[in-house]
Amino acid sequence: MSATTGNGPLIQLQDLKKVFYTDEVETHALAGIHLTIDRGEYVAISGPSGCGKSTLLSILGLLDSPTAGTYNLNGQPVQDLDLSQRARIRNREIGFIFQSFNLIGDLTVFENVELPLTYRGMRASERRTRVAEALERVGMGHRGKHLPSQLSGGQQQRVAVARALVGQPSILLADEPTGNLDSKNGEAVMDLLHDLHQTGATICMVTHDPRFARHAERAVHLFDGQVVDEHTEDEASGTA
Amino acid sequence: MIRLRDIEKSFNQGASQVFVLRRINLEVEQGEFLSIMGPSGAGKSTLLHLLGMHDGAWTGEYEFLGHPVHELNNKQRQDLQRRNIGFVFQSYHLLDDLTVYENLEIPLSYRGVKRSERQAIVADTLDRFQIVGKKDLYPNQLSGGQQQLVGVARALVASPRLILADEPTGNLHSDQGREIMELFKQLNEEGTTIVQVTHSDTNAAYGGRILKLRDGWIVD
Amino acid sequence: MSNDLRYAVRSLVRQFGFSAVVIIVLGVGIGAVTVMFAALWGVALRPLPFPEPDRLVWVEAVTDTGNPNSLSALDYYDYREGCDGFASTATQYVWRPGVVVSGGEEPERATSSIVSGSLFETLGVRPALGRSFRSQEEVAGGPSAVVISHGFWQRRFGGDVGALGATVHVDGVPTEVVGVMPEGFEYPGDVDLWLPMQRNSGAASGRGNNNFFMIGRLAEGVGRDQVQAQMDVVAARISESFPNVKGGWGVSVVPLQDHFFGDLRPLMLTLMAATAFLLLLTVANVASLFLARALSQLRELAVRLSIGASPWQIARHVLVQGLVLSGVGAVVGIGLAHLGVDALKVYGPADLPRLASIEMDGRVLVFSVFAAVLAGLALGIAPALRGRRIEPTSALREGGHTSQEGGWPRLRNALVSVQVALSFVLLIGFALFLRSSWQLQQVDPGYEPDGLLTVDVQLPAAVAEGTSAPGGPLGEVVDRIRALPGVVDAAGADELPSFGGPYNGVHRGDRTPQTASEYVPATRRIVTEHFFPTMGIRMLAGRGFERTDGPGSRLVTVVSKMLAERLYPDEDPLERIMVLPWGDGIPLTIVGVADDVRDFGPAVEHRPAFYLSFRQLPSALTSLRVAVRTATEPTALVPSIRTAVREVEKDAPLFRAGTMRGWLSESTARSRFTAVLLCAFAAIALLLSATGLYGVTSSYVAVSRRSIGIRMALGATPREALRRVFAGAGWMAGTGLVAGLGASLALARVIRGMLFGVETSEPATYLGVSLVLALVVLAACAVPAWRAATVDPAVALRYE
Repeated sequence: MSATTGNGPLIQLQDLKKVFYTDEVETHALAGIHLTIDRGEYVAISGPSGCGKSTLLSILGLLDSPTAGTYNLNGQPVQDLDLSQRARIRNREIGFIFQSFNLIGDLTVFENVELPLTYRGMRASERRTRVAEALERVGMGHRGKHLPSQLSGGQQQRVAVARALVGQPSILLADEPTGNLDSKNGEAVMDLLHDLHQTGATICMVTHDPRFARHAERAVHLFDGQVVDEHTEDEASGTA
Repeated sequence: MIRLRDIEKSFNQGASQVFVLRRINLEVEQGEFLSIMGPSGAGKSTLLHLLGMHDGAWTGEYEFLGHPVHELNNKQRQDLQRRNIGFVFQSYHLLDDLTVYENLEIPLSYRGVKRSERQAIVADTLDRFQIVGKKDLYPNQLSGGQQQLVGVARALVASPRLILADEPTGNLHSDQGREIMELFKQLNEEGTTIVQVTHSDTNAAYGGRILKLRDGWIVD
Repeated sequence: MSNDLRYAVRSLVRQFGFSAVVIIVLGVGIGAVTVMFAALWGVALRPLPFPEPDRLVWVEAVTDTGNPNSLSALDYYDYREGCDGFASTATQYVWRPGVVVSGGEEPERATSSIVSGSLFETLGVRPALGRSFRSQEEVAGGPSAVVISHGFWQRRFGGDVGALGATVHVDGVPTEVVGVMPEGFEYPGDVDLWLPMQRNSGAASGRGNNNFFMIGRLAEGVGRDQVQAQMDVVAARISESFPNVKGGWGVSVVPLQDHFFGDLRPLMLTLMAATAFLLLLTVANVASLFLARALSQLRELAVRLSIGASPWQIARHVLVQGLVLSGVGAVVGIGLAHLGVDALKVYGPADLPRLASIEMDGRVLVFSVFAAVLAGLALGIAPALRGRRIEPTSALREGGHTSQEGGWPRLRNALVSVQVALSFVLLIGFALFLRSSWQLQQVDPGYEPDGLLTVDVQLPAAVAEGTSAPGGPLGEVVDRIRALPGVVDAAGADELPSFGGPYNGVHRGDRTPQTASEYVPATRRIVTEHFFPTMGIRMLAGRGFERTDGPGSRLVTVVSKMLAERLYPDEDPLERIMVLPWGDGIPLTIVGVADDVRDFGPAVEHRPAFYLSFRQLPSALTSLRVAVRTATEPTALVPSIRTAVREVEKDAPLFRAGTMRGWLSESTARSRFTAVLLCAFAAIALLLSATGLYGVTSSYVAVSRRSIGIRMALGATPREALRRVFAGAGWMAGTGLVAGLGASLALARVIRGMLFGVETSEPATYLGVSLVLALVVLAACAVPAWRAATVDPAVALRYE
């Protein structure tokens, strides 16, 4: 899926810390995370609300910088990059899937999926091809001209997945992707992610529901900003 | 009271047509308490708004109290709606700049009811819902449950024959939700027809019949 | 309905900040337009205060070159005879001579108007006391009579009825007061007394002595065209019979109102248009705010619809809010207008007639209310129409992230463009008038106005005639003033340059003119010695006047450069003869050529002129305008001048002391006033446009935070966010600029006549204004743009 450069883990976090300062109160959202994600892995990060999952995902997605520690992406340290460098890497290496889809209401499905490519300065014809492919992949090829408001929740999320895929990123980051969907649609999206993983995508998903964590290969539990447990699904099903 | 025949709602996008409601056939008798359920995107709210004559873009036949709604013009539909239907929303949708009293009064003034009559009806309603003490408060001074109570009271104030409720307890705690559902049950026993959209099986249990929608179709 | 009103008031009070801003902005717009209407009405449109004023007409001659001109008394009699469409006619002397009234009290100087007795009847106003002139009084040598004004009556007689029949000395002549005019009667201007025109006087003789104007009242059912036709016939006859003096001349009959105020209309209408633009701008600005607010209330309107409101009731609901805002705005505006009218009376150009009497009367208030209603409707119309078309389903759907804004941002953007366009127009207007004023100030008057003091000296006529010194005591007065310490030079004239003057048609002396065009109309000025050096007028050839140019020596004249070129095109005019057509024609020897002077003010081009020595006049001057060139501050010398004058004649009053520079700038007052007013408007316009742009851009950024966050998460850089904001603002401003450019070019041509020395299509003006607007636009969206660029995607996306 992605342009693999070298071996070694895709993502390596060492002693990652994140502190928030609000109104003289210090909140230690992450208190020293060690995490490795290899290429082609499907990792689920779970934990109760307030454990720091979303913060971790923000940092993984280069939306936020850690207060301390290192973050290596594709062998490169990225924890100290400036805004525009981060934007560039986000654009090329990361595909986001949010809980509330976060499609832009004024743009059509096609334009939404196209967005990451326009920031890359890709030619229009090439963009068209890639977008069409991505939409086909998620089963929404026939709805290109619709607006998000004309789609159901499940359909919107599938478009969001297409958008995350279209730039062929190194990793897909999903934040509670089924949170705003009913069970049927939720299942559909999880199936889609499973398919993508089968074809080689690296996926890191944040979820509060242990049932969804079971879809992944490896589950990482967070509590109070620290990793408290890690196990593969084989082990989990083994112990069940 | 209500008869729907082959109701369909769709809209065009480019070459394709997207259906929100497909071949809906439905009959609701007066005095029924009907719950419409289904996954999100199934078209429940659309159907409700259609029944409430908020939406005019559909095909098929809709008879309401013997009137052929599909043949009426906008003004006639509005008339019909005003005289017979009250709507309860999930997020209450009270008018924030009006007091509870004024919120209850407004539907009556829109219907041209005389001032003295309005006062009497509103006073009655306040009594009935036991919110007389709150009549001069503004919605933002009430709890969610109280606001929804006012929302239901408002829907009732013009004595409609039919109440349409869209997830009426969706934004409430379970206690408050129960209160509202009890109220509905009572109203229904007094003769008001109620059609509600709900996710919750508990709520549906208060009613008599359940209608399931999926992808715009009625299923069962 | 009362519900809507109550609700409107309550919700507007709750959003006090919003309401206050809207009301103030609207108040400014409505106030400005009200003041301007009061001025437009009071100065230019208000009918003359005479009965049936639309039947009053002004008659003037039209020269063979198409210029308006006065008539001679003989012409007047011919027109009166030859035209039966008039109910009555009257004539008035062109000049309003100052006279000295004495006898009983302090001598005082009064303004007089010499009129035929039929004047009052023609205008339709009878004397409050007494009568008008009888025909015996209209003959030289007959009994002397005078009609006085109400103001004069109060001042001089204390309002005593006994004034009727009293005798006053006018220029030394005992005259009986036969009538007193009612209060407020001011024709042909602020005049103290009216004297009868004497049909056999010198001024009234001679076909070429065009000393009179004519007015008339049309008879019942007679139209101006009919009268014009009849008069044309008479004019043709006169032209044929007197080809020398009237060959090719015509006549023109215009409504009296137009004559007095016609030239003001373009100015007043321009100002009115500018103010209307300002009002439009304030409405557009406020409408944008109003729309934004209505947008946020979309949900509420949908709820109202769902609980039974009809679309009309929704529309009414919104309109009432607009009207309430504009109603309160109107109250504020009327308050501001009162202040504005007072300010206008104080700071407005002094030469705007009737300015002092403009007021906020019923008509103005009605106009104000009308403007407010229009504004209120304009405010509410867009949201009201939109409100009618709300689909309750989409607005009330739970959790819908639909862009229900739909056409609304587009409308708000359009409103910003409108504001930018209007600002452009006002800025251009300001720039043009500013440059025009500047150019006027820069005009070389032909003399040196700085350091020059002017003073009017008047002698009672009897005194003046009674002297034997050539030139009379006035010559002595000038000499004494010249001898004062601090005075560099002093001289006198019957009228100073820039103030106009009477003219005569002169011709060269070596042949008899065959056609009317050989008579050159030239401004005549009677001056003392030292005139040219005192005024700072360059002598181009020959000399000025000397004491030796007295009554016994040959009659001499100094001509202006233009006159010399017209009379003796390729020859040396010195020692040649110029003929003044008084009586049989008076030959004058040209002894000097002076530089051209703008005799009629800086805006009027040069005209030919000639100068006469006051010592060579057949009768002595009774008044003189003395110009004094001082070494020090001019006005400080007034007391010593007064003393010097009193030494010569203790009864001689002194008037109108002022600096020449001061008088000159009064004549450009109108242009400057317009520039200042437009400057204020343009400033307000820029402020409003900037805030409008800021508001729209700000709310766009606020609403799009999530969208910006998403884009950033997908890889957009802060620069990209900046680019989008500036692109959006640039588009709005750009369309406004283009529209404003088009409108300005069109409108500028309309006001071309009011500008001086400025080409309305000069690119520099438009470029400059565009630059200013561009800077303002940049500044206005700087903050929102920065906010967009600093959106933290993590934060923006967290709030889901």
